[in-house]
Amino acid sequence: LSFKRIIPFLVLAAILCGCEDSSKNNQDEQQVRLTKMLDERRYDDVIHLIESDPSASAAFPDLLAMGYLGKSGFEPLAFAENILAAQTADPALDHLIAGCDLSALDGASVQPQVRCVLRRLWAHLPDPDDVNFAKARDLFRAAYPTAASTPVQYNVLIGVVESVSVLSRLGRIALQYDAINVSQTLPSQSDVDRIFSQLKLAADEALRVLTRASYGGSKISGLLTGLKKVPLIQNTGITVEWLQATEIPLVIQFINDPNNGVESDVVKAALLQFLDQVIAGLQAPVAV
Amino acid sequence: MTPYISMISAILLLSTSCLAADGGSVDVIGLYGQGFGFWSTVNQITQGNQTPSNVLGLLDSSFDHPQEGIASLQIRVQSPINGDFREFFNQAYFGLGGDALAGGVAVNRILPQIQAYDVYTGHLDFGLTEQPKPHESGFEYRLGSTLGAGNETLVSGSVVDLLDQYSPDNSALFYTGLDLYLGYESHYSEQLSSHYRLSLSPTLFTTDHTDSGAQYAINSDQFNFRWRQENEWTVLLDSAYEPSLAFGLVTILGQQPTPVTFLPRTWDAIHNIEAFPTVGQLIGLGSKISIYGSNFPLGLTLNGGYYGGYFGAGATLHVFMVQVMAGTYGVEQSGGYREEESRIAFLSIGGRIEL
Repeated sequence: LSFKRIIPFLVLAAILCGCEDSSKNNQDEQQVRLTKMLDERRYDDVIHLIESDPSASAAFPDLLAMGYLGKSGFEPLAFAENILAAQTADPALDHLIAGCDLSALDGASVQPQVRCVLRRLWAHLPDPDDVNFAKARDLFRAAYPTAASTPVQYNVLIGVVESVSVLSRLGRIALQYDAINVSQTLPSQSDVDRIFSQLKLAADEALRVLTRASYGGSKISGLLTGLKKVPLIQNTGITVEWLQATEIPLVIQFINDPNNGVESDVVKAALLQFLDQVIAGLQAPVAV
Repeated sequence: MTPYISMISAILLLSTSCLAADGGSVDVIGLYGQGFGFWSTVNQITQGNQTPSNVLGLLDSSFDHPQEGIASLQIRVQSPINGDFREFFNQAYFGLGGDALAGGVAVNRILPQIQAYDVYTGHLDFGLTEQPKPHESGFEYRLGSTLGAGNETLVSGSVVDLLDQYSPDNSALFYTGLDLYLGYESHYSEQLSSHYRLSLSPTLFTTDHTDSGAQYAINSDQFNFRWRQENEWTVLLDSAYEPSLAFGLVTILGQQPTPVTFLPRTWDAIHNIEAFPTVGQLIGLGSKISIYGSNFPLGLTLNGGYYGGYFGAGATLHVFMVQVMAGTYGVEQSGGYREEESRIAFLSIGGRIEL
């Protein structure tokens, strides 16, 4: 009887003696913890933990950028879900781009016109100059400066962030200029200066998107819009370009024109002409 | 590995040569745990017809919450044995079974990463057992073995990879394992008894997933060692009436310290369980209450407690020769304590046919 009673204790002792230290690498543990915080939308905690530890800042610049991106309210998949959902009427947007179907879309099969995709995007895109979004963008650029040596998934994510910036700037400019047109006034000089500086930023970001798209392909458009059949960027086999219908090629062309390199009355006139051209493109009747 | 294979072959030969012609029984048990929702989600994603919003809708509940499903069917024939080994064992058994496991996890809401798997295996179990007579003190033990074969499919990547057509990584899977068991049942009085159980299940798995990097990949020649010891003390309430009422306290040590062993061996391989993970993960403490009677066609046992750091509870109902079991238990997926819970709710139905 005594032997039977001893057996469990012998086995327990053997187990305890055999216990190994299963602690993982500290950095791996920290990465798991930070990723878990991203899952739980504890973006402030991610930022605080990384920024308060210099070694973490060096080790996880991508997670820090994601923390800021989440804090800005931008989560790529959730954003795409909003784009495909039924849209609410918006007088300013509907004046700028009329005739679009606002019902929920099946992202796998439908092919709405590009300008209608822009209408959906502009209803949801965050402010590109929001302090958290801008910080995320800067951190991504610093962490992955060269597209050629960046993993595809990061090129796609950075491409999405840059696309959000350029499209949001263009949308805000178009809406503002359309409102000015509706009120039948002329933009003030400060309006013109601000629009010009925003266009310069947009052109820079548009080119950055193309660089990322060279490695991320059509996945950038897919991840941003949730639409599989409406790429905003096309690969011609030789170059990667924004679709003409996005009006972004016009922006790049306008900003890269040497005649528009300095701000002057001539530039102002050219800018207004350019904006009229953009608005006309957006307001062209949508084919049914 | 030659001695290992030799041992399994010897068990097979012994168990076949010792079978008696009659007097056996057949057990059939089917089990289904949770759902296969996550795997069907991943299947849809990998077929390339999903959009990011669909992916989000499908994955939203999976962020940092591992999803797992399990299904199994076992048929086991037991028979008294003849021959020289009758002195050491009183039964031989043969079993055929099939297991299916599927699951995975999504992490990182900003740039979602998906790790998922499914495993289908069939297996042949055989061995020799010795069991004491009912309500008598004595040793019980089993010397058994198992051979299994099937397929493992893996999906591993970011949501960006999965937006295009994606080919999951497939591999054939084989395993051989031992089932060693030693128990001792003590009846101190008519009211008080204890039951000690120790089981050891070393298993060698083989696949083609060498260095795949996927979280759930079973590597070529992966060895996993499942062990478990259990102490159960039972007090039968003194009553002149049927049915009887019994209370029990159970302490369990092992990688899956749940009162019911419902996870197939492939679960060990998928999660590459450590022989000795964090101590907290190894400990299960629970209680049970049973209502039964020798002349009563129904029996019900309820159990509940903290098993490996997670609350779990279950019920087992016996109706004549049929057993229905249901439960929900948390199983740790990592080597740590309460880090990655996989909660599995299951329903099992089984029956015994006396030959």
